[in-house]
Parts: sequence; C-alpha cells; structure tokens
Amino acid sequence: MSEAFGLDAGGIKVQLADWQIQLLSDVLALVEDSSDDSALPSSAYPDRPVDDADYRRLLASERHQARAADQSAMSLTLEEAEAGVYLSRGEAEAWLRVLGESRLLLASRLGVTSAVWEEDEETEELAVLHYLSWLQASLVDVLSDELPDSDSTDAGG
Amino acid sequence: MLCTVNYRKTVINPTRLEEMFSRSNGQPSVVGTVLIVTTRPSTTLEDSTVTTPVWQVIVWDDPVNLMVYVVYVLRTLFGYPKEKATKLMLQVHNEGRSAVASGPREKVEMDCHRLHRYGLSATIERA
Repeated sequence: MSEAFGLDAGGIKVQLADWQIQLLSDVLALVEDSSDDSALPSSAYPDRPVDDADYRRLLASERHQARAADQSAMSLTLEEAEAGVYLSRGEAEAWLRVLGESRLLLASRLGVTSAVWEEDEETEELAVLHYLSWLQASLVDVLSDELPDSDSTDAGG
Repeated sequence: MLCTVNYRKTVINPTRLEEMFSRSNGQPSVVGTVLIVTTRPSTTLEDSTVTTPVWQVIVWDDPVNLMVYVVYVLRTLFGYPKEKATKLMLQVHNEGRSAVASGPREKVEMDCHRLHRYGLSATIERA
C-alpha cells in the first residue's frame, strides 16, 4: 500500500484509492452520527463533580463547533482525494483529529480495553482500526517533518 | 511570625516609613490610616507564599492512541522538542500518567481542552 499522505513543494498532499475514500466516508459518517461520544475524553476533574460539570458546560459549545468544523474540512477534501488534493495545515490537523476520534469510537464499539488489539492482525473487525492507525501514523509522519524542534519554557512534567 | 502588609494608600513618606519600622524594631502594628500591618499567628509559610495555586494537566495512558501520535500532539500543543515529548509519552506508557503542563487554573483548563480535542485522556489536579 503506497503512502496516502506526502509532502512536496505544493504542501501536504493526500491521494487515496477509491476504496479508501469509500471506507473513510463510512468512517466519517460514524463520527458524525455518533450520538454516544462517551468514548471521547471530555472530563477534566473526575474527582470534583461540580468543577467537572462547570468545565464541560463552559466548553461544550466550542467543542461541538470545533468537531463539526473538523468533520466538514475532512469531508470536503476527501471528495477530491482520488485525484489528489493539497491540504492546508489546518485541514491536515482536522484530518488528524477526525482520524483520532474515529479510532476511539471504533475501538469503543469493538470493546477494546487493552493494547493487545495491536498485535491481532487477523480479526476482521479490527482491520478497519488497523487501517486507520496506519493512515494516522502516515499523516503524523508528514506533519512532524514540518514541526520546528523548538524548546519551550512551559513547566511540563 | 509571618505578617501581611496591606497598603491602603501609597502616599506615605519613605522617610517616615523607615522611621516607623526602626522605632518598632521592624514589627509595626498600626500606623494611622495610611499603612496597616496585621499579624496572623496561624498563617503558615505555605499559605503566605502561594498566591496563585498551581495546577497541572495529567495525560493518562489509553489502549488506542498511537505513541507517535501522542508525541506529535505534545510537540504541537506545547512546543516541546521531540526528546522531551518522547520522554513524557514514555512516562505515560510505562507509568500510566504524566504531568505534561502546569500553571494557573485557567491556563491548564485550556491545555486540557486542547488535549481532549486531540482525543487524549487528560485531567487536571493541583500540582
């Protein structure tokens, strides 16, 4: 399978076979139609219910709008991916987040609770999850090439 | 004994301030309406030195997100060099969690939200 994403003088390019576009359309529909988003992290204060409710309430609208914008960006560019289409940095990040969400939602539906699934390449139900992993890793690889290896003063762990 | 100084006005003459302190051996009690000094015997060093509570964002291990993805997200959101992002990711993988950012509550809430947007399991706690 050739790489789906590439980086050339024109920027980040995505080119997919017809079957890949069809599969990703189905995956996108899964993300858009998913009424149960409990598989997606949204809790900041698991031991402080009042603070957690405030956090969720304050960010709910922004979260909803940002997810919809990501899905729209991916949907529009996916339509052109068979011929090959260049993605802006923002569109590529949107693809990355939607692929991440779809993996979490799919894994939740398949009952994945440990990393053992990564070693199972035979089970048919996991094939799509493996494909999405490959696709996401491919995009991460391309996007990482454009990251400055800057230092930061942020006090991290 | 620790003390807290509340300046109601800033019009006090520096010379007079020096005089007041020297007269009371460095421990003034009440000085007119300009400067009020109160003592708090029960105040601890910790209470008096921490003016802004420091919070931290914890990223938790999960069975789905790829290691390379977690490294990329940490580099993108926090500007960490690859080595630092990789170290934090490995801490998440091996120990189950890692503090990836810290600061005032408003800041870490936004950091946590951005991590959630990328699908990483993140929570907030006091540093």
